[in-house]
Amino acid sequence: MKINKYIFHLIIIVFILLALYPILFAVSNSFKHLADAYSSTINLIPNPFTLENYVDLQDTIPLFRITLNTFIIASVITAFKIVTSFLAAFALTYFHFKFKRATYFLLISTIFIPFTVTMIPNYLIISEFDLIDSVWGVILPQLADAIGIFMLTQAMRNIPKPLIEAAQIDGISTFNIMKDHVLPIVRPAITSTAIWFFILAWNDYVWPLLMLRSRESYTLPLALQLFVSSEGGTNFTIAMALSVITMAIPLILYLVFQRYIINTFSSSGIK
Amino acid sequence: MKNITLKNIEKSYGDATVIKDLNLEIKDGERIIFLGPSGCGKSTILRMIAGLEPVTSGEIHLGKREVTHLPSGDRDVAMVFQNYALYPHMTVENNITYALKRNGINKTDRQDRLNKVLGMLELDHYRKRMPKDLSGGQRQRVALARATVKKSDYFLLDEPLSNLDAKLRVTARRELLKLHKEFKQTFVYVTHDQVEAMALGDRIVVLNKGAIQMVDTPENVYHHPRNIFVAKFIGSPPMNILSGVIKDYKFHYGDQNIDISNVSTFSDGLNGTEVYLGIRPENMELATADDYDIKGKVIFTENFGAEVAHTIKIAGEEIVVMSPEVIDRKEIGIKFDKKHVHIFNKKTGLNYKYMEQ
Ligand SMILES: Nc1ncnc2c1ncn2[C@@H]1O[C@H](COP(=O)(O)OP(=O)(O)OP(=O)(O)O)[C@@H](O)[C@H]1O
Ligand SMILES: [Mg+2]
Repeated sequence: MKINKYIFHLIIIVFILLALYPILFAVSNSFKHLADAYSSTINLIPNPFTLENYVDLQDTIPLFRITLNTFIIASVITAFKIVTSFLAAFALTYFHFKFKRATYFLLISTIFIPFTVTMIPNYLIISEFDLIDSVWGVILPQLADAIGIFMLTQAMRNIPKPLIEAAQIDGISTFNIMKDHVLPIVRPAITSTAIWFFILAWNDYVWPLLMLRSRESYTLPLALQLFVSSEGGTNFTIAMALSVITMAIPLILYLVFQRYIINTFSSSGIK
Repeated sequence: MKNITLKNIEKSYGDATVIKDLNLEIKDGERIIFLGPSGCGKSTILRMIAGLEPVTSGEIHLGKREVTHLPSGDRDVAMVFQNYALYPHMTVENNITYALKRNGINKTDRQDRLNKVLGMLELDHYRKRMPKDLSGGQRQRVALARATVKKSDYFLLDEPLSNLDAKLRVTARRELLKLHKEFKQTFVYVTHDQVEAMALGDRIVVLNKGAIQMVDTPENVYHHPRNIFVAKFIGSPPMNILSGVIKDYKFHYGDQNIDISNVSTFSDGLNGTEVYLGIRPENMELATADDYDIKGKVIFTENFGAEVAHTIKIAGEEIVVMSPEVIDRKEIGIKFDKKHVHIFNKKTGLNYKYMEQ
């Protein structure tokens, strides 16, 4: 029994290390001089420790601008997707109208349309609007998402009907029912969906690549690509510094919002 | 006036008619109980009064207002749900005062009402708790409190005690009576528990398959059931029903007969008709002597504490007779208390008492 437990733990630790290694590798090498990085690549302790890669990074690319672009794109997309999903889910759950089920299935079926199918029409439309090479060009086709509608509709369907009826009997308006009851009850689902949307938009590569041309309007994943290809391709410690920044920001946001996520699993007190 | 009038109410879901031509006048401040088996439409009626379910046809009046097509929030009724439907994201206090606040009741008034009801229902201690941190009985009281602070004239309750254990139910019943005494609302109470119905009701509406079977005081519903359904549904164990024929002032059952000439609902006209004869287990006596009305075989006995129920087989049918102690005999005579014998029409199931009128 006991030995089994140790073996089990050992296996888990090995897997964790395997999963963590690339991250530790990036963090470690971002604090090494380029020469040291080449001579002792696998040694995880930087010796000597240096911040020169982070300083050089800012000379190579407009780092602040790029980070800001990425942040604007990810947050605006997330905010819009959440607002549109919430309103659509509310209507689809609580309003009665003709072809409601058909509307829902039509919306949900868009989840299964591959990105590559809409890519070209979207590109043509955005160029009509003259938004190529602007963060708004990246954002515009991503203001709504059927996955969000699906997630929030499911969450709302789980709210016991009598709860809404109790509010209706007491003369609470539909808007206030939405604001005072439905919103707080589905907040955990909103938070997890929002995190998911944010990460997707933050890491998105293909669509921003099509939209954005100048470095001034680049996002972090596009900037990373710069270091993998031609320019500065040899300077991989700078690339590692950029990698660290790219993953650190969502991680920090996650830590800030963590308590809401935990709530998702512990707030089953509805009954 | 806080009366409720239901006029020719019908309710169907698609082809299925759930409520058929319901007419009822509920009096000002009365506690009326809808009682019936599961699926008979009790909740549906309550929900139609509350405006949560539209009627298919008919009219609903609350006092002088016709509310048939009024949205729920404009009807000014309070409702307690079976699963309480507390707002899970609000404290006890906020659950109770939330709707008052939204409806523009000022803060001092809100606090007064809150404190009063918390005191009455002994919830003071829990005002800051979330619903999930309360016991079933406490949640139930919060639900009552939330409905009470509205000071609405109409109080609708859908099986509010069904999730409580037997002991709590008794306490909760007293609390309901206390609330009613204080606020004198018109109570419309739905239950499938006849003990609850008897204990709480000024009048009981017995329902079956969406149709009213009887509307009367608990006393009359028990002692003078209008038809076979009510007779069998009320009482535990239920009324014994024997099927036979009346000849020469006697009810012939199997190869035995019972003299029914002095049963109040008996009339000469009944001679020669097939009828059902009904009598409650506690209105019969096990006769040790030769003075009995009918004879049968004891099959088994159940001890209920205060009394023992004897199940007795007579001519292929089983009846239950209550007796203070176990009678340990195979063959036994049974004496009927003729005052409590009912005669029902075989075709309609109607008690002859109600046919004469
Ligand atoms: N939305 C609906 N669609 C179709 N039939 C329904 C619907 N709601 C209720 N019914 C039917 O209406 C009938 C009455 O239901 P109702 O809920 O009023 O019963 P009830 O007397 O309250 O039963 P219970 O004691 O089990 O709560 C049932 O036969 C039920 O199947
Ligand atoms: Mg019901």
